[in-house]
Amino acid sequence: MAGQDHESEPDPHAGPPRAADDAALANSLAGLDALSTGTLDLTEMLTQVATFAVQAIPGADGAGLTLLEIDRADLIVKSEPFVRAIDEIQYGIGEGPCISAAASGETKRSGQLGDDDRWPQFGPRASELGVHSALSLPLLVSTGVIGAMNVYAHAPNSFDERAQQLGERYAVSAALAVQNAQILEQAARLVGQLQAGVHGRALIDQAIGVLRRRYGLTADEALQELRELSEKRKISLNATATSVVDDAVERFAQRSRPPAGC
Amino acid sequence: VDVPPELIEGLTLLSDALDDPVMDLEAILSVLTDDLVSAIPSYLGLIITLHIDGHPIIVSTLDGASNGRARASLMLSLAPHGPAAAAGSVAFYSGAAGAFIELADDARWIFNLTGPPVLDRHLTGGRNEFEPAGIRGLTAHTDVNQAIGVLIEEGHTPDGARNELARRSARSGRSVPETALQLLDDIAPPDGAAEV
Repeated sequence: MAGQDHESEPDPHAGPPRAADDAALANSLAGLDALSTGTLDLTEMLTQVATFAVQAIPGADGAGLTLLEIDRADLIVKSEPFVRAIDEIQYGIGEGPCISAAASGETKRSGQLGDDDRWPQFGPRASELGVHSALSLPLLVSTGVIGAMNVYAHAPNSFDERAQQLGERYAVSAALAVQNAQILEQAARLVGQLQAGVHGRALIDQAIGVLRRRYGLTADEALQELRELSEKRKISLNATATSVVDDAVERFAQRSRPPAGC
Repeated sequence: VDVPPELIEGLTLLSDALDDPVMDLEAILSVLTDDLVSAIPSYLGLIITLHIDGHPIIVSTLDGASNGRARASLMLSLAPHGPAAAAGSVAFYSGAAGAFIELADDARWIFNLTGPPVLDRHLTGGRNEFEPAGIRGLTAHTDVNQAIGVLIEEGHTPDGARNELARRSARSGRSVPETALQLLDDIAPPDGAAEV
């Protein structure tokens, strides 16, 4: 049967010698430790992780990372443009080595995607695009799988047992870096959204103040009026508050202007 | 580690104030908390500090139950975000010494960090005791902005209203939030209030 795990025959011409492999892995791990300072967002950081994976794993032509995010759509990055096309097929049909790796928490390797009966829809379509080898590595942390790293090659049987071992070693460090990146990005996102929420709340409170002064309402009554206006106008509470404040400013400005023609 | 109930009401209030109807601050905090507990089992909680118009707003998941238990902290200062243009920082706390060393190391790539990650500084100077969990400073912020709204309705521009409030505060010798609260208490009944 084609494409079973560990089934591919090592190609004697496919990879560099063992010492060179170790050096490439060490360089990639060092790369993870030396990510640019203060310049990346999460997507760029993950793209660097994928790029280092290509350097760490002999035979690789491109790599992508897929993160399973609880409150957002899965985040997918790639080191090379062709990886996106392959991953879009995979996620479009819901079948492929990355999906299997993420679901099982185990590495999936194939050297003949076109004939691999584990992925009868994905394999032939990847093969048609000239991608014949895949190595999918789950990103595992203490609580489970947080995503998967997909490494692809155009040539058949590009990834041997040694490539898989190197990939798994790299994936351990990558998973920790990715987990920390998720934490940091989520913390920055929370702070940013809190800032936006406080700013939005300031506009709403100003509008409440306008309505309290104008109609003698309590704060709760004024907020209720704003909510009803928001529903009636089919715009957000924030936009409604902005319009109430703008109208108040404009109303007074009009009163202050001299009549036309004077 | 759960999101404290005292915090949920304030987060809901701020989520409602966002223009994005699907953005849920409690959900973001829950995911962050889960990720932190997964990465750092000794994680205790966090304190976020926002500086808005010179007044701090503090969001804390920590309470007295964590008093004396913090052995490590990591503070990240983040650049102003969006129209709020307010600086912010987040400090994580853990019950295990050295728990944040790797996270601090990985934090250097964050694009909007305004200074280096600070490890354990929050544990000095008797800062190992925490006030109740919740959002502090939001009430004063609310009073100030409602008072600005009152002054806008009385004919001030938004900037002029802010200046007028500061002027009244200086004249009375009270803080700006106290002055705002007094102004709100003194709202005169409108003449012939109309329908909204």
